Amino acid sequence: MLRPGLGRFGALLTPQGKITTDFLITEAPAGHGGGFLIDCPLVLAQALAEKLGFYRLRAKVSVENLSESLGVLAAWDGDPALKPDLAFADPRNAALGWRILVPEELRAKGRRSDRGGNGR
Amino acid sequence: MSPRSFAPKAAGLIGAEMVDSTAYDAHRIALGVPRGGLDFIYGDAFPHETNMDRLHGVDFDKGCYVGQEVVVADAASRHRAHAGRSGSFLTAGRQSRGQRFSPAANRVGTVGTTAGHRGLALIRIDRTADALEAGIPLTSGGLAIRLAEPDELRSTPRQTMAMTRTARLHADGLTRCPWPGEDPLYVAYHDTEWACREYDDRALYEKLMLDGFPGRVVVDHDPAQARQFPKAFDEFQPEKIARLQRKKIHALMNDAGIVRNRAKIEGAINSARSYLKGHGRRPGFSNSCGISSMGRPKVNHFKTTASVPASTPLSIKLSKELASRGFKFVGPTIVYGLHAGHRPGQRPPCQLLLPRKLCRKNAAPPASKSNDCWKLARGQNDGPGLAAHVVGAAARSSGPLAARCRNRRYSPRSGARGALERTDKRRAYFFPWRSTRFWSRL
Repeated sequence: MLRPGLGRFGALLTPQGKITTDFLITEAPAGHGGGFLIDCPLVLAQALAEKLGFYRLRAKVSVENLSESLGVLAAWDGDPALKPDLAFADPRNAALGWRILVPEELRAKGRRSDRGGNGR
Repeated sequence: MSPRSFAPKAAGLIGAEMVDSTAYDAHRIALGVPRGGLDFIYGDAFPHETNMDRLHGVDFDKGCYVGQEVVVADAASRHRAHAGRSGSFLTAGRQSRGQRFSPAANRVGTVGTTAGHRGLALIRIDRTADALEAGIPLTSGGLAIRLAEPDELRSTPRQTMAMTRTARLHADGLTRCPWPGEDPLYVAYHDTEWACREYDDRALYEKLMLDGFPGRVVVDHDPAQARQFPKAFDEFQPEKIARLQRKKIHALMNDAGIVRNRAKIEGAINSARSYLKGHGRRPGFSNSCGISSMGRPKVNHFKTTASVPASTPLSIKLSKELASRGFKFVGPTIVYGLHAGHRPGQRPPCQLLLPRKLCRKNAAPPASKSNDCWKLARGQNDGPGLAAHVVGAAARSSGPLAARCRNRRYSPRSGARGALERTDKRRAYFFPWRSTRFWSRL
């Protein structure tokens, strides 16, 4: 089960089982407006948002590309001194450390400049 | 202000030292985590080729997602043994991306991203094993390479990502299949629909119709639509569906309550005609579906959910048989779904899928008699609407299951009434051997 502060690794596949986009997904805490945040490669963010919109059918959700307002940091070898709200442990491997989504006011594209936030 | 300028500030806040992205790549490569676009091409790689399963990215218990058949088949079957794998290797010098391993003729591996002496490559593990066995040294770009042992790659299991592959013990004391998880909606669907063995021809036909429509999941989640769907489809009465005219098809195409797909709607009409053609003859639809053999339901014993295939030889055979009779949208996976209630998928087994005798032997006894969903009577038609298909015994008792049965998400099955008359003769207790006397042709 997904909850704020917990991330999971997944991918959107083609019907033939090939990876369209792989991503990390986490739930945004209510203080940040709730919803889910998807951390995927920046270049694929727009395409993924469109694809998810396609699968939305009649569900009452909106899918937005937030790569303009959210940056992603990866931190490893130890725990962050201050754990931001939008941080989660990398679900792929404990040694990969933390993924930290940095909102607009602290927008940053740091160590992993290729990843963009995308979701809700 | 450039976004990049905020990075040191954010790093400072969390007390981290800012480093270059190559440091992250080196770290990632050392841990055997491939990066999309470099180690594999999006749209061309299967999840197991990118180590997704080892990196907690594949949940074999999750049901119904695009590409599931392939993922499950890959995990369960022979594919796995000779499939490509993203593996780590160690080398003495620099390697460039796209470099082929030698012996190149066999395409044993292709280099992906590298960092220092380590790198990731898409490796055919069976062919590298053959080469090593034959004493052929593996080289890449003229340099000797050594494949990292799988143990060196294995990531630490995480508590949060623990995946249950065996039956799950629920709060009400019953063990159920792992796939519904704790979601009350799925649990209710599991108890009242999925795990209920279905022998009635009409009900099986309805199940086939519902499973053939990809909107099934949507229907499950929205009660308003759940009512709409059977209504639009004449309550799944094959006699009526078979007579649908072009005008009605057009109306259905504009009905927001169902999945608007002409091929599916016409398929439903064709299936209804085929169903009626064989109706009243022996073996009946239920028997043709092969859900019985030797007068008993076919029970498969797969050890884990991961090894439950999306189709079986029987379902492939049945799929072909139904298709030859004119049924549409009866692929092996959909047809396999007909057998759902008839196939306990794992050990320890789901209690709801076991005859009571076995329940006693293998697991804690059910909390109350009314929890034995599979042997409950069908019928007790208490008026139109969602609760009409409440099963008899559960409706009269007051256990948690009874409540779930009352909260059913579907409108009544058209076949339920017919089934009710016949089940009444069986003292309102649903017992499976009713229509299984005749041998299936399959």
